[in-house]
Amino acid sequence: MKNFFDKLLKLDRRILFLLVVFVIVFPIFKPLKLPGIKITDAVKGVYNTIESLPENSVILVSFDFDPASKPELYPMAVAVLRHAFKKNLKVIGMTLWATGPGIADEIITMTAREYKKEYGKDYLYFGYQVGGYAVITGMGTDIYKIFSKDAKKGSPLETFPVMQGIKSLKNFAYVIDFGAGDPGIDTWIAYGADKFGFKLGAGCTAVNEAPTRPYLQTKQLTGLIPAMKGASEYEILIKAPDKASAGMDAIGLGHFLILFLVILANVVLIVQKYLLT
Amino acid sequence: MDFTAILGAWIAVGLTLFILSFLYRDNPLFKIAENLYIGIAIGYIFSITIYNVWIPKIYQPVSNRVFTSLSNWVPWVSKFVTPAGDAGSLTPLFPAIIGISLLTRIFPKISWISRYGFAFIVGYGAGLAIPATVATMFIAQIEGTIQPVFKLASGGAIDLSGPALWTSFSAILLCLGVIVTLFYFFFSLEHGKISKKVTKIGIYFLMVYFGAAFGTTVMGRFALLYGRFFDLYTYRTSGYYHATPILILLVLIFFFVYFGKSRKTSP
Amino acid sequence: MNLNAAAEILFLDEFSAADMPYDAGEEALLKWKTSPLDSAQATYQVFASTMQTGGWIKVDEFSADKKFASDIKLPFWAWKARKDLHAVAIPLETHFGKLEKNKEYFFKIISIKGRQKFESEIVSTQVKRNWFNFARLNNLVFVLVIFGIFIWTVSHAKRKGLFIRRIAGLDAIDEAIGRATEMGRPIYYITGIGSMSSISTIASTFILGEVAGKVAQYDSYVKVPHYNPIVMTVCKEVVRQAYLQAGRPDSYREDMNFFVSSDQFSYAASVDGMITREKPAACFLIGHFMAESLLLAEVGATVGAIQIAGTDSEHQLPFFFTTCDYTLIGEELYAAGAYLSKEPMLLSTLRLQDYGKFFVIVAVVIGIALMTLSVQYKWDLTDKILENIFKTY
Repeated sequence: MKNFFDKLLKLDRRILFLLVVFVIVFPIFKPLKLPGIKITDAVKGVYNTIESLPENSVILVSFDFDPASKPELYPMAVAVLRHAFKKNLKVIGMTLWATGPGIADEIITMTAREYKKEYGKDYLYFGYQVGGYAVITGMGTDIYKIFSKDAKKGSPLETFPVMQGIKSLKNFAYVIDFGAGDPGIDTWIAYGADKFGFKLGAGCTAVNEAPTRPYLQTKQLTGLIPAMKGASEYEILIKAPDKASAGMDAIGLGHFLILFLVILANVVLIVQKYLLT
Repeated sequence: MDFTAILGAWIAVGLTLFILSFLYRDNPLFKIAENLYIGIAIGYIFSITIYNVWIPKIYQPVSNRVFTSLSNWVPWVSKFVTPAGDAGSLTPLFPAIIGISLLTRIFPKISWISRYGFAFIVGYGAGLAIPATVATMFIAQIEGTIQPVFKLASGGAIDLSGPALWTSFSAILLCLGVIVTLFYFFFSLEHGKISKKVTKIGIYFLMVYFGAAFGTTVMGRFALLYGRFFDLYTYRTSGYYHATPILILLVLIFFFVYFGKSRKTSP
Repeated sequence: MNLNAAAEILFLDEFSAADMPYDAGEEALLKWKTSPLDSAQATYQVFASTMQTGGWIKVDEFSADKKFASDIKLPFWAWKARKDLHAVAIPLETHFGKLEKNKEYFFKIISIKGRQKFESEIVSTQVKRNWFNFARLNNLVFVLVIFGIFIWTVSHAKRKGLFIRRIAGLDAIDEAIGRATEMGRPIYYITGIGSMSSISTIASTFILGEVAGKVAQYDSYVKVPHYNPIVMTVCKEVVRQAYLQAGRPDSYREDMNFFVSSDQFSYAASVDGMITREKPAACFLIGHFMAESLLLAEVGATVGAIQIAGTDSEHQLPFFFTTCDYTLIGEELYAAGAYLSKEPMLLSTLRLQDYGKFFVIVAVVIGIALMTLSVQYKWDLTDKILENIFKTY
């Protein structure tokens, strides 16, 4: 018996890796549609703000992440943009990450095409600008000094109808940051929203959820979409289940596996420590 | 489907499998992927910096200014070069010189020049960061913590309904958590009997936070893994010429050959 | 027009235009007195122009029971939040593009109630960039107070020194080194992947000094693999100094500190390999860590080493808790460094932070008490003052 427990504790970790692969791959082949996703107030914060904006309001979306965080932030960005385009809001995209432009462009172009939006009139893509907090501070007083041209056509920003009435960050009805690190949500709050006073919402990776939540309570953020779970809630809110909702099966099963392993390891340790000695 | 999409899928699948192969054991495929990752990231950032920063923010305005002035003095210059866009400006030279001064660190004899660059960066950074940090991380967080511990119902008496009690409980817990956690990190006082107990509660609050952070990290990692596997699943189809199954097979063959050989040679 | 009909019209009493205070010259401020006739049924339309005659653009429209001076979000020391005054900020740039210096802007308001219309006189103002944002005075006061206390604590620390309590984790260090000596196995000291500019790395080098001193005394052996060449140079000096002070310069060896790799995961993989092969009795993981934290600590735990960790990267702390015997959490690391080095700069920073914490505790306790009392006794003013003081604007 003791031998068995010893072996269990020293289990080759590659077996655990295989178990993890199994619980994640299985739902991809056979979606389980696990129940129990509850819409949280944090996610509703972003949804309600967008819902409350009048038609043709201009919102700014900053995609501050790279392909490494794509599975977590891409689905929520797509869901939020779909919501915005459906509500006939005008969307302007940008990124503070050098490795972000590809993904940012893909998301904004794809969702705009779905709703047959016209570039320059209904949406615009600023592209990447180096400098992190300096970019935000600059945009707080004059956007044209930071981004003189758009990233897709290379034309001066003034020439696009969507830029009418937009001079600084204050002129946006809502700013949303999808941030995976630095520069990201912290930067947008400290150097943007707190300084220039505009409404800010955010989407973060799971790792950053715990440190970002205090900003919700202090109302420095109007809402927060945390990782894939938040994204799946948003997909439910806009009634368009997609990648995140599908991924929640895998994450749910994964969590069950981890919980089981944590409990098992602790039980084995306790048995070994108190009953077998 | 166009060729670039298919090629992209093959590269993505290949590199994903190479990296995942580390889970079995360190091997040359993993090393190839790892080095490629670092190299490509540096190259990509370099090119972005050149095309998004250096050319539009420094080269264009400065060269436009220089050409416009030149063609004012020497009219025939404009026959050969026509500056694109506006008249430009020489101001970007100032930050550019400060930036370039940092590179003098490579040459020990003139490395003192870099100090001026650093002085500027540190001064500018601190000037921007200190007020922002004090406002966002300090003042605003105090405001967020200060909440009344109870609310009044419409009649004027203390509201004892379920949600109101829950809000009160949250407010008290938050306040308690902030105080005991801060107390844990108080280093100016020797800890007596009571304060030791307070710090112990502080530790429990910290542990709850770390537990939450740990949990969300696990969730994040699962999401990332799911994302990779979902891509592998997408690229398995005939549209991508069965990239996933073919490459899995090739990696497995490599493993058999490589580790089979090393097992034979090792004593 | 008879008197009764006139009474139905919304006159604009004391209508004036001015520059919006404390901004960067973007907005104009219009003010006029409220009227007893203000109601949800009446509307104000605000027009602006760059000329006195013609060129009017409608810049705002709202019902007469909205937009008072008290709705403008400025703190009590910078703005009188009156209820008997209408106040509207007009963002001129949105309507007129780039604003020119010393240019006069003209405004008029048309009030509409039912079929009655009343057009106000035309008022004008220039807008200017203000030097000082009086609304953020509280932030300035906080920064100045912090700065003042810092200067005072530094000078005090230099003259008399400052007391800092001993951190419990430091006792664990002795235990770990003692065990390594008994077992005759080496000790690994990992400074993390921070550069010499990060405070956690600086604190780590001070703790390394302490560890190396003990190691020299007990005649044990320490290995310090490095990620950053500059940190390595500093650590070499620290270890040499520690051996010298312990009176064992003969035992010091140049290769105790060695460079591994400047790539995060190559570094982790290589150090993991060394730990697996040499099975150290103790591992110290102190400094700035990122994703390699768990890779390193897990291997140390599997070979059965006593592990002491310390970092200020909060994301990595959970991993250290699960794999290490003792963990210095965030500021404890700075405190340990300051305690060991007695460096005035570190000591005073720590003391300053203690004052900060004390201030937060007092502010939170008093604030909550006042807020709660103000709910009970309806002290709206107290609420407002508290909210204003701790607002960022």
